Amino acid sequence: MNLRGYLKLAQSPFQMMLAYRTATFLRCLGVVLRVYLMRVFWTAVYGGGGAVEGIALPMMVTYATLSNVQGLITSSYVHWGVQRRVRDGSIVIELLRPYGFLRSLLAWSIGDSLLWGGLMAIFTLAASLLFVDLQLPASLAAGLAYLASLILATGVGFFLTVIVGLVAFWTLEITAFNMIFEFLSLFLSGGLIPLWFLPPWARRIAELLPFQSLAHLPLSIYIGKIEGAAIWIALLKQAAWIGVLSVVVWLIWKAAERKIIIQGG
Amino acid sequence: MTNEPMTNEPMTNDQLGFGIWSLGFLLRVLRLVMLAGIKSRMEYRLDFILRVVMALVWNLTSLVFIWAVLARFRSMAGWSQEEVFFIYTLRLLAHGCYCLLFHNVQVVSRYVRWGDFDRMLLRPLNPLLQLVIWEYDPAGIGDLGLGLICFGVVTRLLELHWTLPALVFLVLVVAGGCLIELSLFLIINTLAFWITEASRLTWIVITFSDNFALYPLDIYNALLQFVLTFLVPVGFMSYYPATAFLNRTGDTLFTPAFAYLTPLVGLALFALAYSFWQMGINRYQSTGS
Amino acid sequence: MAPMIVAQELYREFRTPKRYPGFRGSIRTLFTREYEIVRAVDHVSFSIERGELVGYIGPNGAGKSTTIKMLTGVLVPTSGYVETGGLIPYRNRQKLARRIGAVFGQRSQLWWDLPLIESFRILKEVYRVPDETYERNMRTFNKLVGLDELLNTPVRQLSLGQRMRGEMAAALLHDPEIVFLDEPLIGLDVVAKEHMRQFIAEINRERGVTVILASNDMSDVERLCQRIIIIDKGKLLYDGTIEELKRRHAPYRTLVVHFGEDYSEIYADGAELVRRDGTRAWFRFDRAVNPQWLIANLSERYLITDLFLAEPTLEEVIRGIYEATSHLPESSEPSGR
Repeated sequence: MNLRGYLKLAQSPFQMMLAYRTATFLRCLGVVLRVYLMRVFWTAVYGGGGAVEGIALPMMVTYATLSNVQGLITSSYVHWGVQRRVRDGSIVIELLRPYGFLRSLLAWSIGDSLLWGGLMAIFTLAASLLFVDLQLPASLAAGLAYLASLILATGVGFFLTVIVGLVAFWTLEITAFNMIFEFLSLFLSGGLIPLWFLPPWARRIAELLPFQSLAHLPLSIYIGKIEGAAIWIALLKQAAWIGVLSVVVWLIWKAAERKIIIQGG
Repeated sequence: MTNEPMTNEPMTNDQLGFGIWSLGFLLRVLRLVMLAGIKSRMEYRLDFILRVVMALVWNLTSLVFIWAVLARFRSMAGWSQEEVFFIYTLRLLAHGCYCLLFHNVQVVSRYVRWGDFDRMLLRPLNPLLQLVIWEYDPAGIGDLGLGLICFGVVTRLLELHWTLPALVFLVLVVAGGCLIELSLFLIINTLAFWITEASRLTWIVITFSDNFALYPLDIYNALLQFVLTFLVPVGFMSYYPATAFLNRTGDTLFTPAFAYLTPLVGLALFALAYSFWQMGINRYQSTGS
Repeated sequence: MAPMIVAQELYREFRTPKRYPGFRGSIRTLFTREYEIVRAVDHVSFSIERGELVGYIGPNGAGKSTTIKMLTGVLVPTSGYVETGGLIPYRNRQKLARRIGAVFGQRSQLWWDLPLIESFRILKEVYRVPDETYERNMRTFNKLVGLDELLNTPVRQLSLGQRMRGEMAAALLHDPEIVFLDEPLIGLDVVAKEHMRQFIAEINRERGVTVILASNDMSDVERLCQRIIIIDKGKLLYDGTIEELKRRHAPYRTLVVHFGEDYSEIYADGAELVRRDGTRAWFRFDRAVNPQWLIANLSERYLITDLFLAEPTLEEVIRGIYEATSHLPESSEPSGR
């Protein structure tokens, strides 16, 4: 499968976005509403007070806004595709395709995230600027590092989602697993509540898990909570997680292959 | 050549299909059909448990969020952590009742789209009642169960003493809130008679009820306060009655009387929604969808 | 006695906004005031007496379902008069619902996941069927179509034929005076169809239930209905008996013959060769002609490997009606009664 093939695969989400204009619009609207609600919420909660854990209200609002908007980029839906293919058996064909199932998933996901997600994120952010006073990143370096961190976060999200999808080989129905997964990821990623506001025991758990790569790390870089050399460490952590998760995925994939070959699906 | 079109003729009250004298009949039918729905769902036990768990996770997300943030920040807009939790609980109780009893109202648009609605019109029973009880799904027990647990917890936290009148009022408030949510979804689904894609809008009601209604209205700007009180009155599901129970009627927005209006708002909104529903049926019969 | 069903100049049109092609066209569609009018039921009149078994025949899209919807109160006519059981259907929908039953071929009214008996129990309650009537009917249904053996099976596990038996019984449970059957035999095999026909004939005969049987297949109704009404493109084409219909508009039958050899020229006495396809030939002959004679005549001269007799199809009959009435002015009376 050559470059053109992969490009075509990456384009399909873009085309789908055009086809599902209304759904895309509604999704963006949903995010904008959530951003607004979060702005109102945090304003009320701060109640005119000063910084908490070193974060003042404007930065907190920025954090929450970016967290919601970047979710459009970092969230991946490949697990449903995997489940579907396992359920209808077409996964067997994928095993035979020369370019490898995972690589095609990745290509699709990148198109999905960067093009579709990116476009939606830009629109949503622009709309949010109407009522949110978005703070600039702590420094130019922080801003650039944020973007790099965001791309890495997308990678982590991709592999995590693939793992959820591969569970379909054993349970066929991943809805329950996915639910628990999303619930954990919501809180442990720092996307909903910044990790500094959580009780210490929760924070310790979050630091051990990959979820913090999804929101906490990139956002902390942006608002300057992580600075200087610590930025490199954070980026390395994300890259390391990508490495670890890709190995996990490879292991699960091999186990799944064995299962298909032995049991016939 | 053609006669006077008959679509302007008013519909008779036959549409209601039941009167006080046949309440016993109604209860028997309800019990039988809902039992059938439950039995039908139990055929797919795992699926049922999944749906209950999903509802729990959905509600728990907001709950944990509010709890964790307020554990750190202690209050918002003059409402303490426990008081905000109380607002959340009131809303969850009403929502739980709605889910347990009337959730099926959201299949209306599907029935209309697929032409299964005709069957409902051909039976000697109120079509709205049929839609709500046919294929009944008791998964709402999860929401209501969580609501009751929260109620127990918050009562202890706030050291609330429930006198009999207060409890009676609580039941009325929960019933009123349930009617509010039912009416909102009924209105959206009735739109399906005109716009087939109307079901997409349910998401809007859900956003208002699941998100905006969770907090004291004090935190919103004037426009939103207006909307949440007079347009999409989910404020009456949680915030307004909370001011009554927590003896904060001095702080109630607009007027303290609103703290006690929930049952009336529920009834009024339902009357509105039901008339709209009747219009929808008339339209269905006049244009053949 | 007053007729059971009355339709006078029943008219129902559907307006769809005229659609323009292309993107600019879709904008124009939003603002257009031009409509395309579909005349689903075009000034149809008939009346049906109590106890009749009437076939309501027409090709797909002819207006059968629309008519039934108006007769049952689901749909309001655009104009015209309709009366069912002495009531105006769309004004007295629920009052009428107690007295009518309906089977819609594609749509089930039974509970899919539960045993058949559960559906009956629910319907018994909804229609307020007295215990006695319920017991009596269940016994009758069992006698006629062997319902008991199906009662404990979930509906989703029943075959189509079995399910239709259940649907029919469900429609009759509350002793309705009129039963509307919209394509009840569709998809059934020959044996199941026959059983259903017998069931329908039985309840019509024994209980005097008025039956309206809508279908696009004439053979469905041929042995059941004394009277048929033919509708096409919303217009009533014929209202009378089948014999009369055939005599007037399709006074012929077709003999389809497979020959053993590819003969260059084929002819038959007393029959017209209407179509030829290789070794197959279609001969149309008048009803008065004895087919045996025709077959003998052909087999004397040709080698025949297979043959069968075909009755005129609904399409052929309808074409016959159009041809017969084409020379008459526009607002002509439908042929027949």
